[in-house]
Formats: sequence, structure tokens, C-alpha cells
Amino acid sequence: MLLHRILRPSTARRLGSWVLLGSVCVLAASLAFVVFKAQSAVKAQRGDSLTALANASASAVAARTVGVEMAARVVAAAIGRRLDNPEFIEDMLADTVVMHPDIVGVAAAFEPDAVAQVHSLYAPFYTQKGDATVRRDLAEDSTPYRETDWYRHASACESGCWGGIFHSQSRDQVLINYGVPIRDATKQIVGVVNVDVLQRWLQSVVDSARPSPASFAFLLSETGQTLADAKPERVGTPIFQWTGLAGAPEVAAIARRMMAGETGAAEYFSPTLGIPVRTFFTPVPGSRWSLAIVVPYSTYVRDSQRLFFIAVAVGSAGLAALGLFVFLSVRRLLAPLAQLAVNADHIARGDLGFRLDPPRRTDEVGRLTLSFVRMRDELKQHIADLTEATAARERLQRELEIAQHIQESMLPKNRFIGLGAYPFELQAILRPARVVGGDLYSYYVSEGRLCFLIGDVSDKGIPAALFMARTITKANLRSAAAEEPQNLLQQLNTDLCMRNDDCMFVTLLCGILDLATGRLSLASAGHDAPIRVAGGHATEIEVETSAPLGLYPDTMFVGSEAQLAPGESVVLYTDGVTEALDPDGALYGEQRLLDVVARCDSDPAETVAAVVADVAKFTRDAAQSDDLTLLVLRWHGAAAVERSLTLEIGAQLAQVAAMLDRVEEWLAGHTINAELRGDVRVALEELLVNAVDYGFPQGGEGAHLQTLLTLAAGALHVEFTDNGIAHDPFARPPPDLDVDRDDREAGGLGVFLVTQLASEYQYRREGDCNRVDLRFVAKSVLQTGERPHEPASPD
Amino acid sequence: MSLQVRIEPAVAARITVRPAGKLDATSSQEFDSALNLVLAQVPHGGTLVFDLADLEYISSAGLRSLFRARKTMKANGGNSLIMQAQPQVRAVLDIVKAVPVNEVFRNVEELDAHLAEIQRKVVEGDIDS
Repeated sequence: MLLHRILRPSTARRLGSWVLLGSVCVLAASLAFVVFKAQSAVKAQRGDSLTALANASASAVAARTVGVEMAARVVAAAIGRRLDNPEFIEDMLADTVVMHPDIVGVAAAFEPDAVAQVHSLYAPFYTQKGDATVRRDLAEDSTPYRETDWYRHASACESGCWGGIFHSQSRDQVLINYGVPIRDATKQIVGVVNVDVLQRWLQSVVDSARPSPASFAFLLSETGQTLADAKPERVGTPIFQWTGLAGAPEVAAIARRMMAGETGAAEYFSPTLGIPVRTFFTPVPGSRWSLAIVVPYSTYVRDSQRLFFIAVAVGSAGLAALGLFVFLSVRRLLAPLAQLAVNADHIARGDLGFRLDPPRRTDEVGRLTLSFVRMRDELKQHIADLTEATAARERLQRELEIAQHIQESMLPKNRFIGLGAYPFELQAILRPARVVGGDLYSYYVSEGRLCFLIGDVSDKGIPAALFMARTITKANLRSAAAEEPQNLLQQLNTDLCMRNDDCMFVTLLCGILDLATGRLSLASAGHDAPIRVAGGHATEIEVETSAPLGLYPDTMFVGSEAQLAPGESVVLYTDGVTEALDPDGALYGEQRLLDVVARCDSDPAETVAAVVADVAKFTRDAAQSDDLTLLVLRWHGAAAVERSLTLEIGAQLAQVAAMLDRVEEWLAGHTINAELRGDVRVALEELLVNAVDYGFPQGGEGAHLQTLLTLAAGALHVEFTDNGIAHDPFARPPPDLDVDRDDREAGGLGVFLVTQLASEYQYRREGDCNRVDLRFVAKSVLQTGERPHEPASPD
Repeated sequence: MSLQVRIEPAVAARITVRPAGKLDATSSQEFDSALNLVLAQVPHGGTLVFDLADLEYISSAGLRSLFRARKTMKANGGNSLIMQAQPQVRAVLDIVKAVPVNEVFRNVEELDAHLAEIQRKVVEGDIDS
């Protein structure tokens, strides 16, 4: 989990890493550059100081050699002037060896006969021996002095030359000699002055030129002879004969540069020391000697190495501090971003209640946080608005549904399916395009007349629905009293023109059918003419029409007459049928309607279903554009109701059987088979027993149960009414037949039998009465054969 | 009187009730009284057979009588069977699913075969156990 958190992609970590990486690169590069430069400078400074040390040492050597040289030259010059005075020469030499601290021996050697009063060879030599001065004449030596190296060397040089190192056996000293030629008045060389100095004082200078214990210095003559060296055994040896230099050819090169009088430095690996060394060399002023200082390379670069380590340490510490700073500052700067990311997750999950700290700064992150908070708040507000709007819409929807229910309840309930007490059948349907609509229909039977009407309010939706409610309420009030349809329209028009500021109007077709004669009176207020269907032919009935209701108070309405023959139908419709649109915008049209009603000239319920199905097929999946209403009425002729039986009893069980027997007898008399007689008897018994048992809890006083049987158009219609308490037997759900037979309630079985035996059933409350209509279809009535009977299987 | 009830004597713990006429709201109480007498006589685990050959009509009141008898028989460890139902009666019994299909028989032979089969199963069950 922790690893997962660490490895989770984080802007802060990436930013920090990149900044740190960049800083490391820049810092390392600049540090390397500075260190390189400083190291060079330190090296150069170190080289300079070592060179200066070499120079100083060389000067120290020179300071003393110059003194010796000057003394020797002065002695030589003085002697050259006083060749005539041997005493002077002797005194001069003796004084020199006494007085000059560096000179341990001085000799003057002459060509033969160069000095007055002295014949032949003459070479007095004074040396310091303790506090005493010793004189010796070199002419007395076994080796003639004019043949010695030092004499020839000195007489050959112009103004004085340093000789080499030599070991004086007589004095047991290591010495260096300096010779100067003696010139007479004619500048002819007549002899030499030779002074000896101890090699030791050179050695002391060389020994003091040691910048570190591991370093050393040496002095080289112009011939490559080692005049002084830290190693005493080398003294007097030519540098080229130093032992152990086979592995360092650089040394010979350095020696040659030194002998050439150059100043410089060179590095080589010293085989004797086993380490790399650096040599600084410089000539001794006033002579042809050269002094060299050899230091181990490590000593030479020690400061620069220390500098490097210091730089690395300082750089590392700086980087660590930088990293910490970057980490902390990035985290601090980007902390609000991390919080935003977490809260964005909250929003994604739909949780808007989180707390967000207000930003401390107004930088991008701060502005982002502010925007985020604003977004969250607006989202909250938006959701709240949406919830409210949804609630409002649902409330409106509920109200519309209630309105729809109210509107539906304004339409007549009794459908007159099948033939009952009246010789006609009637079926109507109203389908609003929206939840509520402006179409209407109504019918009413009174005193042998059927009054019916169909209407269409201008506009759609709620305004139309309100006007429809007004219209149908007025129509129901007026229709009972109206003798002729035009009278009804006249009265309705007067009513609707009042307080109609919005100029709503309604087209209406009203008809009154005399049930005995089939005489049909019609009046139209701007509505489509009805259709008569007779013997498979459909034609329009011509009706004189006037202006729609609600527009002009002075409109006059004229009635029309038509005569129906038994079995003929009348179809009333609104333009929702004929003006139904298919997806391409084509109209359904009147002809299609005429065709379909002509084709199915049977009972009204089937006609209505056929028209609705045909319209639906035509419009396919196009939205219904207008309210659709259809009313089909079929008159069977007065004779149709003659085959009927009306029976009435009180609320006593004893009378029930008698009534049932009477019914069965009547049915048998009308050639109804035994099976259907049984079905009718069971159904009727259940209704009668229910009414007797439960309909009159206050006692059966004044109760009457009435049964009306009608045989017509191949169907048996049973109409049962009782004046008991209101009770819809079909409201109860059917019994659950799947529970164990022996456990279930016996109640409800009777009504269930009724619903199963009758083809159609319907209950309604009419005034103080419960009315149940049952219909047994023609098929059952006419069949005389046995009911299909499956043999019981033993298993 | 629209209903007559004939009760045949018990044979091997089987009593046959044979109502004739109409079994409806009017006659069901009378039928119930007759049944009560019969039910008292049926031995434990016995069989009550309704022979409906002569019953021409039944309504929900009659159904309730049959249900009551079935329930009593079952509580007493026995069972009740129906045979020779006429078309109208048979139709009503079918609609309310009054009895299982295998407990309704067309004639005495089917009924006897069914009872013999049950007897055989019981005997075999005893052997098996």
C-alpha cells in the first residue's frame, strides 16, 4: 500500500526530480569548472612559489660565489700590477685566506719568470689550517702545476672560471676551486689565481631549499657535475652517471636544459623514490651553474587536491540542502493541487459535501482552487435546481394524470356492448394526443330515444381540455330536455359564447335516434358529417352544418333527418381520424375510413377496433398529431328487443331457485342448449346469492333483484340489477388457484365462476342500483355439441 | 326438493356418496347435513367417493360442500375421489381447479384400478421398508 502510494504518479515528485536533476547538472558543471580553474591557479601558484624558492636558493648560492669571485679577481688584478714585488703577492695571498670567510685556500701560480726577482717557476699557496695559515709552494710538487687541469682551465678563461668538485687528500676536504687569469701591464696572461672554497657551504644552501621533507634540491655545474645534492654520494658525480635513472630518461633532458641555463619545470616518475615528482630548475646568476628543486607530485598538487575535496564536500552539502529545499517548497506549492486532485475524485463520485481550504495565494493554483470551489458550488446549485425542476415536473405529471382521470370520468361509462334492454349497440373511443385533450363524446338514453354527440375543441392540451369539460358538462345538462339536436346546439352555443374571452370554439355533431322507428335527427356545428354503413357500403349522411359553437351567439342551427334500417350503423368521428399523419406527412383521409368501416360491418366494438388498428398501421411510428375520437352506433330495429325476459324477486334465497328455474325454462324455450343453460344458471345464481347474502345488511325490506335476458344478434345478454349497497363484485382479485386446494378460502369462487363462464362482463353503479351486464357469445349459444371433454387419466 | 343423496354401504373402508339433482345454494345445507353423518362413519384412512353421475348442476355453494368434505377426510388420514362428473359439473370443477386431475374418474372401473394401484404401492412400500 505504501509502495503503491509512493509509486503513484505525482506532479510534485516529478517536478522536484526534474528541478533537482537540473540543479545537480548545473551545479556540478559550474563546480567542476571553478575547481578546474582554481586547481590550475593553485598549481600555478604552487609552481610559482617553488620556482621562487629555486630562484632564491640560486641567488643565495650566487651571493656567496660572487663574493668569492670578486675576491679572486681583486687578488688577481692586484697581483698583475705588482709583479715586481713578491712580498706583496705573498702578503696578499695570506691576507685573503685569513680575511675571506668562504675561502679556505688561495694560490697564485705564474708563468716562468713572470715575477721579478723570482726565477723559474713560482706558485705560492696559502691555506687555513685551524687558526694558522700555512704556506706551500706548488712549484715544489711532483706534478708541474702548469700541467694541472686547474691551471690550464683558469688560464684559458677570460675573467675567471669555476672548476669542479675535488677532494683534497692533504686537507681531507671536499672543495670547489675558482680560477682567474693574472694579466700584466700588457694584458698578457702571466699566471692564475686559484681559490678553494668548501663544498659544504653550497651543500648548506641546497639543504635549506626543501619546501617539504620529501623534497630535495641539487646544484649542477655547466659540465653536468653534481656540485651539491641531498645525497652526499652523488656530489662530484656527473648527473648522467647517477644510478637508478635508467627508468627516467626525462632526467637527462632536464639536465641538458639545466646545463643550457634554462629556467623551467618538468615532471617525471622517479624510479628511486617510486613516486611521480616535479622538478623546478633555474640557473645561478653570475655563474653557469643551475639549481633544481625536486618535489613529489603529491606535495605539488596537495593544495589543489584539497581544494577538489572541499569543493566536492561543499557541493554535496549544497545539493542536499537544495534537494531538501526543492522537495519542501514543491510540496508546499503543490499541496493545494494534491488536495484538488483528491476533491476532483470526490466530485467524480458525486460527493459534493467535502471541505476545501481557501487558497492562501492568488497564483495559478490559487485561482484553480477558487474555480474549483465555484464549480463545486455551481454544480451543487445546478443539481438542486435540477432536483427541484424534476420534482416540479413530476408534480405536474401527477396533476396531469389526475386531470386525465377527471376528463375520462366525464365521458359516459356504459358502453352498450351487445343488446340489452335497447335495440342498439354502441361503442366509442377517445384517444387524446397528449395526456388530456379537447375531443369529447356523450350519449344518453331517455324515453325511447338515444341522444348522442361528438365534438372537437379548437387547439389541444390543457386549454382544450378545460373547454371540453365546460362543453360536455353543459351538453349533459341540456341533452335530457332537448327535443331536437338543433335545439341542443342552439342552447349550447348560447352557453359557450358567454365568458369566452379567448374565443375558444368547439365543432359538434349531435344526433337523436328514435329507438322504435330508427328515425335519426342530426345537427352539426361545423363538424364532419357522419357515415352510414349498410350492407357493406359506407356513405356520408348529408347534414346541414353551421358555425362552430362558442364563436357567434346569433348562429342558427338547422336539423337534418335520416332513416335507419335495422342492422345499419352510424359512424361519428373527429378529424384526429381523417387527419392522422404518416411519417411522410400524408393524411389518412376520409376514403380510408369509409373503406375500413364498410369492410367490417359487424358489431360496433369490432368496427372501432378495426378503425383504430387501421389508423395505427397507417401512421406507423409517427407521433399522434391530434386527439382521436370515434363513436359507432348500430340499430337493430325495434323487433330485436322483443326476445327478452324480465324477472324480479325480493332478497330471499327461496325465491332465487324459482327465478333460476324460470330463466332456464325460458332459455330452453329459445333453443339454448343445456350446457349454456347451466353456465347461465351458475353465473346468475352466484350473482343472486351474493346480492341476497350481502346486499342488504339492514334487512331485505323493499329489496328488488331484477334480471333482464335479451337474445339478439346471436348473443345472449344478461342484465342483472339490485338495489342493495354499492358493491363491484369484479373489483376483488381472482382467487389464487395454485395454493393447496384444501387450504384456500372458499370465498370469491362464485364471482370467479361468473368471469370464467361469461364471454364479457361489466359492472357499474346506476343511481341506487348495482348493475352487472353479462354477455354469452353467439358461438356458445348455437353449438349443440358437447363441450370438449378430456378423459381423466388415472395417473 | 332438488337434491337426493344416496349413500352406498361401506365396502372395504370406502363409502360412496351419490347426490342427484342440483347442488346449489338452496340444497347445499341439506347436503352438508347428510355428509356429516357419512363422514362420522368413514374409518380412519378410508376413502370417500363422490359419484356424480346423477348430479346435473353444481354452483359455488356445492363446491364449498365438496371442499369441506375433502378437508375433513384429509385431516382424518383418508382421501376423497370424484367420479362420473357430468359436463356442466365437470366444467365448473375444472374452472376452479377443485380437485387434482388424477382424482376425477369417469367410471367405477377407473376408480377401482386407481385404488388397486395405490394399494399395490403401499404394500410394496412396506416390503421395501
